[in-house]
Amino acid sequence: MSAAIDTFNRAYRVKPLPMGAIGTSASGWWGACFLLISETSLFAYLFFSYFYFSIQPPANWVPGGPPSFFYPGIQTGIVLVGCATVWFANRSIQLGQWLFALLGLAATWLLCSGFIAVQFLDWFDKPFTFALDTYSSEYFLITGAHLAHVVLGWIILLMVLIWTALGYFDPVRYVPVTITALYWYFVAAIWIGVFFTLTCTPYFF
Amino acid sequence: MTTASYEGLPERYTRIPEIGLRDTPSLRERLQRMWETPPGIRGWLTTVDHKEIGLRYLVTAFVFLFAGGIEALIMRIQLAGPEQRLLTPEQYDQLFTMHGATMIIWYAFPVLSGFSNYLWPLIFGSRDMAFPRLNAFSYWVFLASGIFLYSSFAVAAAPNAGWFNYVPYASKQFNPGINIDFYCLANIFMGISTTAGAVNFIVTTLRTRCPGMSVNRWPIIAWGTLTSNAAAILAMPVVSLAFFLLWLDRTFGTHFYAPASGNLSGHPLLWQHLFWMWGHPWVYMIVLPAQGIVSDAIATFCRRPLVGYTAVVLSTVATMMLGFGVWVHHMFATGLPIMSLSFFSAATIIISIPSGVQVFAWIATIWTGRPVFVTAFLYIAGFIFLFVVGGVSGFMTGVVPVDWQLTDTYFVVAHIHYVLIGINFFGVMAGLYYWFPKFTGRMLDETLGQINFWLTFIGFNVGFFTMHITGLLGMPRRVYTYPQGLGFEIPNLITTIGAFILAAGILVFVYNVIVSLRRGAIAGPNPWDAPTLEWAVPSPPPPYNFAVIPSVASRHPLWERRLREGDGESVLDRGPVLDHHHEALGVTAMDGEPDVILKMPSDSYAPFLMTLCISAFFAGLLVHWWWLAGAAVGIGIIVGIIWLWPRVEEGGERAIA
Amino acid sequence: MTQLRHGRHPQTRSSILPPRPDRKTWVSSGIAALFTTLLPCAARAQDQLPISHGLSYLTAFGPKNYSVVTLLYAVIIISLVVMTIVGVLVLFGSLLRGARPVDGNIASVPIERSGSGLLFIYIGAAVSFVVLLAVAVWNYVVLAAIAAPPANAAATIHVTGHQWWWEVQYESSEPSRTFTTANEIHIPVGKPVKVELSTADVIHSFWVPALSGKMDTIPGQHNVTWLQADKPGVYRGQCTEYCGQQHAHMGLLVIADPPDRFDAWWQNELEGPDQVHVNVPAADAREGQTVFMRHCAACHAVRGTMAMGKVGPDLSHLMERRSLAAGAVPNTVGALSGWISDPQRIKPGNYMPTLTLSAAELSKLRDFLRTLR
Repeated sequence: MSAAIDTFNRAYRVKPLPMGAIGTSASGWWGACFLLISETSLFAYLFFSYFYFSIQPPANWVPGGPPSFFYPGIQTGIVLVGCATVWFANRSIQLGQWLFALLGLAATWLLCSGFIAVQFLDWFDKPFTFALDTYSSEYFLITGAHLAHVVLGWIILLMVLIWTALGYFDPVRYVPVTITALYWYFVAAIWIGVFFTLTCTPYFF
Repeated sequence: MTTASYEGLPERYTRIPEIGLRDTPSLRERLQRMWETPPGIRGWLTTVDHKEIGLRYLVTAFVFLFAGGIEALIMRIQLAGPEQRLLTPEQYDQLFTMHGATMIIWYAFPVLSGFSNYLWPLIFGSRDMAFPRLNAFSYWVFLASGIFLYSSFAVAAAPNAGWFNYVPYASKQFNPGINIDFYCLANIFMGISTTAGAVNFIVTTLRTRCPGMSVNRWPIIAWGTLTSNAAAILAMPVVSLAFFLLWLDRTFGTHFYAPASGNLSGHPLLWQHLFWMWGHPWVYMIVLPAQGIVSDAIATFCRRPLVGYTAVVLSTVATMMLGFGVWVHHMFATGLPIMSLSFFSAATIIISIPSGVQVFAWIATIWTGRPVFVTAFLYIAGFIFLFVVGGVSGFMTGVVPVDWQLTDTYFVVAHIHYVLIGINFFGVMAGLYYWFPKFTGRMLDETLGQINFWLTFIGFNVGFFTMHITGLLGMPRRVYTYPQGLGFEIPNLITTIGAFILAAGILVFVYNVIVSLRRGAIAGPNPWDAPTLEWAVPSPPPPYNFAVIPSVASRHPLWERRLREGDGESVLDRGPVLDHHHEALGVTAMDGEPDVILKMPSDSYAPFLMTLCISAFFAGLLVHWWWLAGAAVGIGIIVGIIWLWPRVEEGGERAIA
Repeated sequence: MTQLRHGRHPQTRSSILPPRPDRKTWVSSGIAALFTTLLPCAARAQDQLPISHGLSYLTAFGPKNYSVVTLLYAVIIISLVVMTIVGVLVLFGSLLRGARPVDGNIASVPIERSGSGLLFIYIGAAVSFVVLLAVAVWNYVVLAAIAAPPANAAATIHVTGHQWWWEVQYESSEPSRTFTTANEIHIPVGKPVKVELSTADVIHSFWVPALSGKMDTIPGQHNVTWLQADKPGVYRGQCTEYCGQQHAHMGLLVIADPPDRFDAWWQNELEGPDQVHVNVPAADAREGQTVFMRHCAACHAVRGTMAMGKVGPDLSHLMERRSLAAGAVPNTVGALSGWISDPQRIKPGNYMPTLTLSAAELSKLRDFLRTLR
């Protein structure tokens, strides 16, 4: 019987347990992590499909030569600055600085809107359309898949911004802000992959 | 990972869980009221009870099994003799495509999700899945995607390019009808369910268990399901992508698979790569949980712990990892470089070893145990034998020059059926005979069970072992008829007879279920004297599963005294009551130390409404009603926002994420 | 295989012995005998086909297949042995160790951890590893030996898969010596022939089981395989990648002739058809040709006439072939009439349209076709 009590006491050493969604103990945080792993593998397969074509002859795979750095460069800047602002928002809510958190989220949301706008500018600038050839299909597919994730991020940022403004979060319960930040880091990391694949690699091969 | 430290949290965010006794009637009453789903249509549409959802998964998957089975029997009548004209080629093509798709995608994986859904919180000593509403959602999407797929029959345009759907035959140019659009969209649709379910299983496994349920104490089915769902989150995107690209090619004239003018051209082999990069891991995903069922049930029926627990766990994980590196063995005849064939051939041959380890572990368990000849054990023994037949024929097709002969003949048809019926269906049947008492509180009839087993076992082997010979005689796959005089007549007739015997066996099972539901012997909580936690609760379990959260000290909490194993003793009759609304215990991922009291959501319409939105979205894409798809996205976003809106719990707390 | 028994090559028939294993390892002939005795169907298939080889690949007739068939038998034996061992272990283990619960109560059988049982796993895994390694090495040896076509190919044939027939083009360095035919490939006995594969539409797979394993025809890709038959004979082939409604009826025949007859055949193919037939009045044939030019020539070619269609099979020497519609029916007068009058009945879904011809036109068209020798 003493052994039984040991097991039991070890499990519940008189110790208070946190209640509800707090930090990384929140199921939502874990779920978001695994969902993002799945989304990351989606982009891995997208890049696979791109390289599957790009390594096959003929070598001049991108019509009209390697693409310009102009718009993709701006987008890279936007996602990186967004990483900073969303990190700042998450940090601020942890510290109880509600207004800074709100500002950080609002700034990220504006950057997100900017990214979407620049992506459309880049698309309109392209001399080819979706259905022209395999390169154009791949180009619009990959940027489109990324943009779809950014648009989803735009909605998430907007909602979390509203929820923060409504005062739903406090310095202990703020995991939606953390998940939003995590999502933005994911979108940024994938963008770096998209940028490298679509804009940089044509200069090497 | 040890206990996370939440020292310094304000007091209102923490609580020392109240400890209570399991057999307190007032506690049980309170929990019952709290967790019960209201009766009627409202409860039916909103329930998030994992047991209800698990049973729905099982029943729905069996409905698809029957649909696929009827398709198979019609084909078998057509093939019973040479040059028959019961079916037109187009009808036959639709039937064999739907048969494959139904069985592989809409039966084999969901049926295992059904077991896992029902059993997860029970074997882990928990109250619910980590994401109960997501759980309901993944079921509704599974159902809706199946209905979506089968609605193609209503317009006489079922998919007809095979479940593998090779381009360019599946492209617009050669297949202009709506058939393939149905198939593309249904697969993407189903992928949502599989991915959502997979995330749920993974987080549930890692987070919502009882104290003491460390990784080395999980039942094997937990390992099988965790492994296959981890693979699902990595593999589902590629098949959804493959089908999405095909749908783009077909709808907007893009050039992923289709040739384009000029030198930039799509490539049909890309389809085969993308499809099999998912397709082969999928084969392991639909057998590993079934192997887990067998590994757990064999211990109960051989009256001893499974031999080689660690070896079986490691080989489960190893099989899955190797399973990602063998996809090209479906493409040995496509003219790939010999180097690449050699690599994938080696991987295919090597994958036999971890599978073999499991077989030897089962055999060792039989030889060092005292098997009891109930129907579930017969299915287990049958499973082991069929596993080996399917395994060795798989090994044969891994040998490249031999595969160049075997591939796309009936030999491979025999192989895939030994894998899918042998390693999935027989495992499922073993699991049903094992857990039916838990699901329903009544035993399945043993006499009918024996008839059921022998009919399915004999029918299956008569029908499908013969297919190996049909294949060695050179009969190609996917033909709607065959000429006289090549020696195909007798083996095909035998296969048809075997298929009908197998079907009769399954009918006996259905009859057994119907009879036993009404008149079966009352099971009691643990009719098999089994070792794991699900047998510590009443049959069927109450909506809250465990009145108090147990804590376990060994792999076999209900056997540990007799085995004298474990680190202390499991405590099942005392524990945290967690009776402030819907609550569950979260533990650390590896060691199972209590970590957090989770606030669980209640019943909700959101999963069902979201599924309606997604259905409308796919319907819009199918018939090119872009306004419908757009509206569905818009409403879906609103439903999603409502779903995730931080809700107010009693006491004014907002539960978030 | 009715169409082959009605074949029109009496000389070939008499010159070919029943199929026998060419390289008799004791293993392969033993197992072949086993299969033949155990399986009445297999035996029947062989009895009925004294000159033609069906789709079975249990016996090899050319160097591309000898080592493969030996390896096939080896892995079949390994598989049967493994199945037997496991089956015996499961069955006897269950019977020997089986417990009789008191009153059917399973709990009456005590729970015991009797022995670790790990030895089963160690021995099993070790033995499997050795066997698998051996097979993997054997696999590579065979693969290396047969994968690449021999350098000294006697002929190069370009085979193009169509829904649902095979276009066969004989290549030559002299353009005047190239020609096109369909659904039948002639090869010289004892010499390797290179086969280049492509497709006009979807993916097909080229397979002549007695001579060679499969190779797909894939759009945008040129695959190469090779054939060699060491005995004269008729070897059946089949498309083995699902390619649509008539995938079932996409057969082909490989006819291995002695080299001199092969050369004569090639010479004959280069020329246009004789357009005479003892049983066909010349006037009927001429009128039939008019019908042909009006209804058929857009899709079919006949050398020496204005018919140059490329959509359907080349019909220049149609009467030299053993079957019609890619192996769907034997090449008899009756089947020919049936095929032209209603192709959708024999091969539902195929792309040959049903012509609206009067009975007289039909008969004359058939008469014309009968002169294409």
